[in-house]
Amino acid sequence: MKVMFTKLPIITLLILSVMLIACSSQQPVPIQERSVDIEQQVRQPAEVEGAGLQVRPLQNPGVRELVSQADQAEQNNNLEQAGIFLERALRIQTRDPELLQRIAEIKLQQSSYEQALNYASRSYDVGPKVGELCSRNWRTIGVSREFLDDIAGAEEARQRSITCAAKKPEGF
Amino acid sequence: MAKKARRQSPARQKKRKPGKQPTPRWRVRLVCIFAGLLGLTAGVGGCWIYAISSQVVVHFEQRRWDVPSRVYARPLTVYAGMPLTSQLLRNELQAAGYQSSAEPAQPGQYSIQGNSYVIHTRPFAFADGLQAAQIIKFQLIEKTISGLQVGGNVASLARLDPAEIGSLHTLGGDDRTVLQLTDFPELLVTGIQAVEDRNFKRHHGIDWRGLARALWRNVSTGSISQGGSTITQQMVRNLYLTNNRNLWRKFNEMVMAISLEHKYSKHEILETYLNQVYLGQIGGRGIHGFARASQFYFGVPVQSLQPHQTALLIGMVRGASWYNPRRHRERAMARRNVILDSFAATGLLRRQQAEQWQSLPLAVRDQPGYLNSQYPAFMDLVRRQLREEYAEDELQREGLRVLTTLDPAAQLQAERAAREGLSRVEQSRGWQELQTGMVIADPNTGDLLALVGDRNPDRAGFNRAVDARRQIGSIIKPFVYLLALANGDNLMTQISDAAINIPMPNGETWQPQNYDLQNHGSVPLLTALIQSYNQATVRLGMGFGPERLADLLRRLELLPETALPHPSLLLGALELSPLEVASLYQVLAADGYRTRLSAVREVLDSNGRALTRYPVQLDIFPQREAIPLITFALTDVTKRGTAWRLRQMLGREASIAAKTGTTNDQRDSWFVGYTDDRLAVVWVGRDDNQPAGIAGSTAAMPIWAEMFNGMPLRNIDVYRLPGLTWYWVDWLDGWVTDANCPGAGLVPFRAGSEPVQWRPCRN
Repeated sequence: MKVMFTKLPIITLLILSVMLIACSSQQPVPIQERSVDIEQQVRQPAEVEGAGLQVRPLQNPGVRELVSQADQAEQNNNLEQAGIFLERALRIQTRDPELLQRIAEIKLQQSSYEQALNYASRSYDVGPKVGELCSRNWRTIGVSREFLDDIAGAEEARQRSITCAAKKPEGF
Repeated sequence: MAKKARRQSPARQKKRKPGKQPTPRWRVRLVCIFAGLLGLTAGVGGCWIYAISSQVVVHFEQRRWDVPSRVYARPLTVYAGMPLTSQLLRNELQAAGYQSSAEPAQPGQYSIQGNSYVIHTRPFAFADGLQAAQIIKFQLIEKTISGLQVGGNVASLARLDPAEIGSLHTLGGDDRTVLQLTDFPELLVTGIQAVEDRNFKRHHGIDWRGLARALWRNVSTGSISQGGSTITQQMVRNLYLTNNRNLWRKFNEMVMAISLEHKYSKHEILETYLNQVYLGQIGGRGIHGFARASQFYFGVPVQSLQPHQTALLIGMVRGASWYNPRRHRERAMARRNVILDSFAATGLLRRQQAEQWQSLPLAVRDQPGYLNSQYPAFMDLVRRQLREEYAEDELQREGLRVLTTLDPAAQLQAERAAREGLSRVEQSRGWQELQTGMVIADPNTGDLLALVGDRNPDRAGFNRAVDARRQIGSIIKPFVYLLALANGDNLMTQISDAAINIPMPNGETWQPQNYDLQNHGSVPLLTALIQSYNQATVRLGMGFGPERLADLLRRLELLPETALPHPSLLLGALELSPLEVASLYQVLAADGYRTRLSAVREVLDSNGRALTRYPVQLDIFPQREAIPLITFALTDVTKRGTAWRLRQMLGREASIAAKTGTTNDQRDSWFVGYTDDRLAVVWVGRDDNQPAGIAGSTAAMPIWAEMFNGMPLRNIDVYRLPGLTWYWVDWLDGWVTDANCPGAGLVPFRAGSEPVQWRPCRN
């Protein structure tokens, strides 16, 4: 019994520590520390949402090559390098909606949310406004707004991304 | 004597050998004095040697790493389908120091045969990696690139190394490019040793045999014609000493040379020598090192030097002024041939080869391969931008590489337009004192492609493109209409152009008038804008108040927060520089996505690592959804508005958005025009701000047209402007009507602001 009493403070401390750890593990991760999973949050859902009619503007072969190099760099987790390749491509084709969206996605992964939003918005403005690209535009805008604490704006963007699906005309 | 005997100790008396006389005291004293002096000399001398050795090491270290920053134009990217003219490409290659050659076997050479182009690029470390030298081939068919190949393989794009456009260093500072020893061509490395110091690999700083040989020749000829200096001694002289030929200087030089050889390897010494040796002068700056001299005299990188060029540069080591090939061709030729003989004598070239190279001309460019006085307005802006991030000292000494946005071909066009266009305007107007400031930019990326700050573009000084702030007049009007359109109006909304009186706080009345002093009744906004009616514009602006326009300008950082807007702001009573006007219009030209105009893309360290990048940052402009309407209206300005003569001046069909501007008493002439990929601003006026008798369409517009003459432009496709819907409307009242009605025109509207009234054709 005496042993029990002498060890009581230690046991109490242990219990408190466990409780604290348990509590802290339930704390939400600060928004700045969260990272974006671009595949899960933008590309894959957009593929589903934007199914149907796709309008893909012709891309310059030089731009395509630079985009492919940027993809490679992104896969190697070298976002800075990917950004450099995409910016080179942008100087060739300044209003290419696919290219602008890719830059937006790189910015999103770099936690540059305002720039991600602006590039996605520019892509939408000059883009087809239907299909997968449209959905990626709005998903990127939505995620960016969420990180920028614009919850209502994020929800509006989610709704817009759903409306990007366009049915193929009959006989198409 | 008795006194002396008394002072001698018994012990000493014992040691004295019998029969030997004692040493006289004076001799003892003399020896002591001599020994003392010797010790003193050795001490002082040792300290001296230590001091000068330390100094030369410090200087050596400084010279090895003290390198000014180099500034480069934007690299030209070529791709299949790219619009390009032969003239623009030639200008680009010339600016980058490429040399025409039948067989471009060396980096830095190109060939043109018919419409086929071969360019042998030079290696360059870009921020995305080192790009090796490569051979690019393509054809220019109907001003478009096709059949692009890189290294013999079909390619979709290729990038040329950028033109070097200048360096950042102190006034009077030296100009040099530092390379590693392995980057120098073999003939140069071996040739310099064959000519200047054949025993370099074996001596320890001083070549005693060579020195003796030189001494003998000097004695036998009775003059000091040969110095016998080793490469190490020459470098010491360049680093630290003067060219005085006296024994004390020679002694110091020898001490320092030995000291350097003791501290550094032969490799390090030769590398520093090749980077440091004095080879010429431009203005107040010395040209140091073979890499810089190669660019300076031949316009090619040192790796591309031909043997006769290498021989000339090596020959100039003995006296860069005396053998200056631009001033003393024959003397330089003779010296070059002596060096080629030397190459043959030492087996570096075969005799026959040497003779062949001797038969060739000097091949020196008339002008230096680059001039630091080139593009002074642009370089001024580069310096200003860099100073925001870097200390002056860093820029001048750390060998940074600054990649800018300058498009050399566009700059050349702008400079030509400034020179010739202004002269033509002056001849027709009878003025001789006009000045200009010009800016060309890519509105989508913010890249500043060309900048002209003076009618003589090579003249440094007052940079009008950046610093000449003048009233902008009608240039402001599109922003008045933008605010109205963003507020729900459309281009067919009617506005009265009747006379207008604005009561002022001081009790007076402001009565703006139209340029033609006429009232035009009720007109659509589109007409009021493209005809630049003052009365209609003021009426429209007063509807929402000049404060709204002031807010827009403040957002673009073009108006101080504290400025109180006067109604005259609606007619452009605001002083801006051409660069600021470009910044204002960038927002329109990029469909409402603002980006900062920048002269610098990135700064790399001497190893090619990116230190600072200036990525393209976009900012959404609040009124962006109405901007495509303004762009449409401004394309109409060049069809039937105040700039209708532009296409005639350009000599081709082009869809360009533009606005003219003329200020009170015709003091300033402005013209701003943009396409999908170019935005350009031209200001013309007098430095003393006196009336110049010029309007936007009579001075600035012809110069703008001259600037873009022959330059490919991506036309604005008004039907692809974002967010617009199109209706056939009656021009007179703006009602929707049928396409086949007389007086019907196709006009764009923003979703939600479409006209609702429809009616059939008017009879």
